[in-house]
Amino acid sequence: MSSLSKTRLQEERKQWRKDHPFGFYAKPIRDKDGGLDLSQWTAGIPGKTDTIWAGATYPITITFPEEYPSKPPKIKFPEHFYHPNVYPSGTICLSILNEEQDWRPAITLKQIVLGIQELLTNPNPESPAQEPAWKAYQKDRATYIKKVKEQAKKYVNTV
Amino acid sequence: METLDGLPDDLRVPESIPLTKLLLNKFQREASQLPSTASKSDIDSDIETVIRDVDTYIDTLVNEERLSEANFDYIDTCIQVVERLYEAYQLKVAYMKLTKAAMDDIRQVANEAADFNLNSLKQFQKNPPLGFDLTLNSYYSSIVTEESITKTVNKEPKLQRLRNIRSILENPEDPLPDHDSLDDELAVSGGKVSLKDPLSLQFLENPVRSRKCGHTYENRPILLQLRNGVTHCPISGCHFDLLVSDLVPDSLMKLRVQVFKARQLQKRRLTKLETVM
Repeated sequence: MSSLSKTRLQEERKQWRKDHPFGFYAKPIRDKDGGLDLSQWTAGIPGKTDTIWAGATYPITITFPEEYPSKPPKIKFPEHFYHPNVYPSGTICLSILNEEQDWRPAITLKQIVLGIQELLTNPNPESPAQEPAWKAYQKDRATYIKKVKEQAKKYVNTV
Repeated sequence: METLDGLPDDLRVPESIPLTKLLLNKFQREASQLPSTASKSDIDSDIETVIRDVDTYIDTLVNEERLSEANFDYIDTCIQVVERLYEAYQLKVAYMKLTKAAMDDIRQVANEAADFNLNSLKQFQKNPPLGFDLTLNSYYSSIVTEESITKTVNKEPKLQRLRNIRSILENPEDPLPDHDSLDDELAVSGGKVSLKDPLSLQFLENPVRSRKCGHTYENRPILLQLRNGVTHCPISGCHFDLLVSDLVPDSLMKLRVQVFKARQLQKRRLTKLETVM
């Protein structure tokens, strides 16, 4: 890992521990020797209250590339996550996470997870990433809502 | 002046005598009473001296780790001195411009008076045409106001820098006041200035500022970024592209961080002291 990406990730971790939005979590994963790998994180995005996504915390994995923060982190939901802008692989389609589009090195982890939370309730119909959720969202809202609520049960808040 | 008969009617009196000469003398008398006769280079070197003094004072504070206890009376006095010096110079510039304008007017009036010759001279002296009675004072009050001088002086970059230094010493995280606008209601307030590098999220140590968009970054990370071929400004929502040559050292930001850190250190010392007592 380059020294810039290392200092940056250490600071991201420090700031997150000091202060982060309510209901979220984010932490670097421990490797088998118990050491921290700052380039691999797991995090949880709570669905906004009073929406069909509420009551659950959706897990994501965050992979920071060698060139971070010049390049954006790669962020994935579990495979086959049900959302119009999530690819079958789980990769999220969001402009601020795309190097060619709106990624800027000044965007912090906090801004990213808040952006993903926003995307959950407000999908972008202009950039479909999977067939089932996108089609349902466009043409059969009742099925869409049912599926999203079913998925929420799977990731229901344990606390 | 009684034996003018016999001379040709169309004999023109040279422009400089006798009426204009009289008025020119009057102006020269007034010009000699200008508020400041110091030259531009004299004023500049005086200003430089004051600014060097302030810089030395701040360097001393930094070196002795006393940035949190700056003497504002001293800095305010320095700012006032520089203001007065710039004002004196502007006043002098204004006087010189006005003197020239007044003289031009006199010459024009003299030339336009077609019947201004030796025959009409007496008449002319008795009843000077409109405009001949102009004095510097009437020009001065019509064009130069205190406000216009203050406005010009406020735009001087060296004076602005001094005022910015003062503001930073007092509030290292506050945006700089808008010295240009005299209209306080329009001034934007609120918000804090980030003292951290957007790339590494560490405190800035050797900050450089983009001349294009005005954003500030730490020197090393931004150069690394540019060397890796990323050209856009790292700030989200900023659409400027950067070149290495767009980056200039940001000494004011450096001072901000130094003052901020000095204050934090002082706070910690005080808390420790309280715990001990």
